[in-house]
Amino acid sequence: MSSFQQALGMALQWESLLAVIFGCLFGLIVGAIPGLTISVGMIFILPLTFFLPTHVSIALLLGIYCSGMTGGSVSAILLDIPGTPSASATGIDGYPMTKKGEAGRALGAAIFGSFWGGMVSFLALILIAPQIAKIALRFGAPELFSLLLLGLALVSSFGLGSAKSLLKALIVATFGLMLGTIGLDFQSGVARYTFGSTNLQLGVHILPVMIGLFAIPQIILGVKEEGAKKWGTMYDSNVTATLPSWQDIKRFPKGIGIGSLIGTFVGALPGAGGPIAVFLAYDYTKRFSKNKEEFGTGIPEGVAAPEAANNAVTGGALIPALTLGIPGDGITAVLLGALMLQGVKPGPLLFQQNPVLIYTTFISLFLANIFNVVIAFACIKLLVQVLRVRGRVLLPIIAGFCVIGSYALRNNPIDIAIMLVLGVIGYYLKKGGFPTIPLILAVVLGPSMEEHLRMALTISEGSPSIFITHPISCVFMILALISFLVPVFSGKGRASA
Amino acid sequence: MNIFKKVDNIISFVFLVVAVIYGYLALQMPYFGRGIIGAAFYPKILAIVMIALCLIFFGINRHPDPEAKTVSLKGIQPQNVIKQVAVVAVIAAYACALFYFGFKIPTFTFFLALMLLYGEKKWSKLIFVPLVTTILFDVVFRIIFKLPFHELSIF
Repeated sequence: MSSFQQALGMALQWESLLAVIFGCLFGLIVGAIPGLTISVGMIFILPLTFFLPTHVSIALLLGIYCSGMTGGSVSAILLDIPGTPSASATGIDGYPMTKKGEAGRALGAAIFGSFWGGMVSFLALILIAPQIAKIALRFGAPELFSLLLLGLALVSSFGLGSAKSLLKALIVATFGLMLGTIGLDFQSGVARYTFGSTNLQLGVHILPVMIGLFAIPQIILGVKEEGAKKWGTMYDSNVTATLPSWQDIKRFPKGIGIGSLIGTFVGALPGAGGPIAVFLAYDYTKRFSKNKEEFGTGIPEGVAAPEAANNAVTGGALIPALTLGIPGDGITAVLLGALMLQGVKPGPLLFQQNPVLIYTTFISLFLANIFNVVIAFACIKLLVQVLRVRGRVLLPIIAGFCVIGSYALRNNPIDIAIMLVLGVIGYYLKKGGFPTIPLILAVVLGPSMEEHLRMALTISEGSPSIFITHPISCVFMILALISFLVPVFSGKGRASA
Repeated sequence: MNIFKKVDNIISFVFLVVAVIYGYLALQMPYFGRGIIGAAFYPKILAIVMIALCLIFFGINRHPDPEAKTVSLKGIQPQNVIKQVAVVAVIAAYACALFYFGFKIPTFTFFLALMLLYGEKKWSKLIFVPLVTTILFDVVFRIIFKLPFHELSIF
């Protein structure tokens, strides 16, 4: 039996299908609630994945990923509050449509756009990812170190407008790398920064770090009155999504095409992510539209294009995550964390050693996009009601999941302590304007970076020139340097302008 | 201008202190002879990089910046700060209580305390939601997934 047939069998098992359906429903709910990001939703469900087979966990998380993107549009359209950062551009035309009494039409356009965006990026993933993995298999230690450094550099510097912001990102990234050194040294077995604790010898796991940095600051901030209020009552609670009319469908292809391509491309760039993709998609759809002046007044193509873009990000972001082990954003970092929990190490070798899992991931993503559209149309009334749930009920439950989830990981109380300490750190980082994504990625990439750095230097007998003399490594290093320099000079340019 | 008036400078200072301690501890790590890239090699690099980054940050962030957030007692509502500290304390207390007082009572108390902190006033909800959630958590995590929690014999 071929790998693909095996994968198809696994992806179509009832457990996997149930996981995708539950993931889609949960993702739609999480995405719809403002303040609850997809990452927090995934973290919320992550403790359950410890007890599930790998392919079922992947199906569940991909369901949340795809549907979370779509769910974000519900609150953006009904309340003009994006449920997720990736739905930021959806409300520009979605909310005016709600005010015109066309909320159902806007929701239909959003779901329609999401479906096609997801499908285009799925195609890109299955066509491009195996080719990148084939190339990456030829990389040695110097290339892999330079590549990981480039990934971290891109995530730390993408979209930053000043040297100060870059420094903040680099400081937290270095802090993440420092956290990654806690535990037993992989070569010599020396205990590093364990302070005599046997619990710390296992090192800092990515899950408590993610829970701490994503969920705890929201729980702390939620205690303020505005976090505990219910979200909205300013729309008709009987609203339902309507299938787009033929007239609307004829207006969509250009916007959905632009959104899908931009979303896939931007998603594949580490550090870029959904929020950038949706605004680019909206802007370019507007530029290429015959009805430029109608954008912003409430037209369905203004909703479909950014929604196609944010769902296209899903497949795009999985390309570097699966092929190179470099998560492009917080959500794919959680996905990779979940895979690592199952003993799977994402990277080019995964394509060679476990093709069944790769194909299962592809098929699950395809199914997630199908179920997403079906469940979104069927359950839109439920989502509208979910928006009325009060934070004062929801946030304590999330806090409970954070504590139990951290402990469930390794049955190690130290993980709860790490989660809480990093949660407080994350809260202050947020207050000081420090980004947290580079920290998370640094914890994920740190141990591999150290391993490849030491291996490369051992090969070169301590000479760092190995990173320059190897051509591919040299290219990665130059690109990393450029990505560091861009924010510095763009900031100077802006200052002098 | 006092650089510690800016929130980001205080955070960077904390990172600087952490880096100095981190670097000092790296110097104490065992060394297995010349030419071998040992356990302390990478931490030493990170400590140097972190110290350099923090110092550069202080250098460029010492000038007044109208957009920067400054530490000011004005506008901070003590009630909110106390509540935020209380939320962290309740989570920490719950984590400790799980290992001394079993699962059910601490979990119920935890949800009740947090809902009170978040401003829930209806007693019916304050009893119903924590009770249902505790039962759900107990069934899922303790009974189905068999997570090892200390359990009081009477429960």
